[in-house]
Amino acid sequence: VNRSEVRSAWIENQVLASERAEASKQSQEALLAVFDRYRELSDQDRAVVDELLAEQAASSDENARFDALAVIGEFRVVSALPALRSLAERLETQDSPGAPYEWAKVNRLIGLLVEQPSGG
Amino acid sequence: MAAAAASRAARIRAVTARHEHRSRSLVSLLASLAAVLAVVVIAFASPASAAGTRVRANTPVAEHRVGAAQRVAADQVGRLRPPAVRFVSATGVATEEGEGLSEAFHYTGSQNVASIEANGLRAGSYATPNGQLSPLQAQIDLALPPNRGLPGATLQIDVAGLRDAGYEIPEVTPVGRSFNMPGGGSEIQFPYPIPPEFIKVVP
Repeated sequence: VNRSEVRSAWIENQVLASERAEASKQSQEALLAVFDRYRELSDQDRAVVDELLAEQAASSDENARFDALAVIGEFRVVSALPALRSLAERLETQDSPGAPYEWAKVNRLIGLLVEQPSGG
Repeated sequence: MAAAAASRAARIRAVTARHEHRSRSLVSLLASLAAVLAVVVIAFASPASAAGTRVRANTPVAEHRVGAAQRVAADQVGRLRPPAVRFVSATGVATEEGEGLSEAFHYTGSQNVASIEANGLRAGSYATPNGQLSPLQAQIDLALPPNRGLPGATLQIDVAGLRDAGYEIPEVTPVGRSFNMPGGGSEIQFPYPIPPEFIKVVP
């Protein structure tokens, strides 16, 4: 399986999990499905997905960003730190109602990764 | 003599007219100032003016961003909030329209609680104004899919806090039949993620 296929498979799984969870009125279940999928990844595939997660953390798609941040936090994806720092800087200048709360979340995440960089 | 008297009378009338004109101008100016002041006061006191004010007085995030003056303004706006419009759902439970709602409840599986506490609720999440539903009632009234098991956890969402922070609160709508569940309760679907700061687990 090549890099591009790993990325496509991850995104496809994410979209399906999201659709299924929303259809069953339990949007949060998408996260559990994504966590399960991440656990199944080989080390090699994880490296590819970690890169994708860092990209999604900077995405303007709110749900993709939400899921990526959750996975990064759950599995302590330290390689996403630069992306998180950029996101925190971007959020500082935004004035949407959710921006200060997401900014706080991203900063908590940065603190978590800096203090406990061991993965799950 | 008569001509001099007439000329003097004419001068007096002219002076009087000038004084009257000045007085009218002054009154007009004062009236304009009062009108401008009234417009400014109304603008600052209206909820619409607070829509862009991101205030969450009791969170560290807002403390970071919002000055004391803005918090006072938000408190004043809060006091001016119109009373909630209430309606009764099909189940007989009194609920409120999204605009007047102060809290809502999200019924979910216990396995989701840790993730919600850490990350908040994902966009598209549902809640109901009724916080008194048993797990079975929640499944029936909110038409939750039966193949997921009964919702073992209830989370309280601080809707008033969301509103104060500038979020637009969606309308409460009746729950229709789905997943072979009758529905009949009322629900609200949030199109944005809800930060964990506005959520607490109901014991």
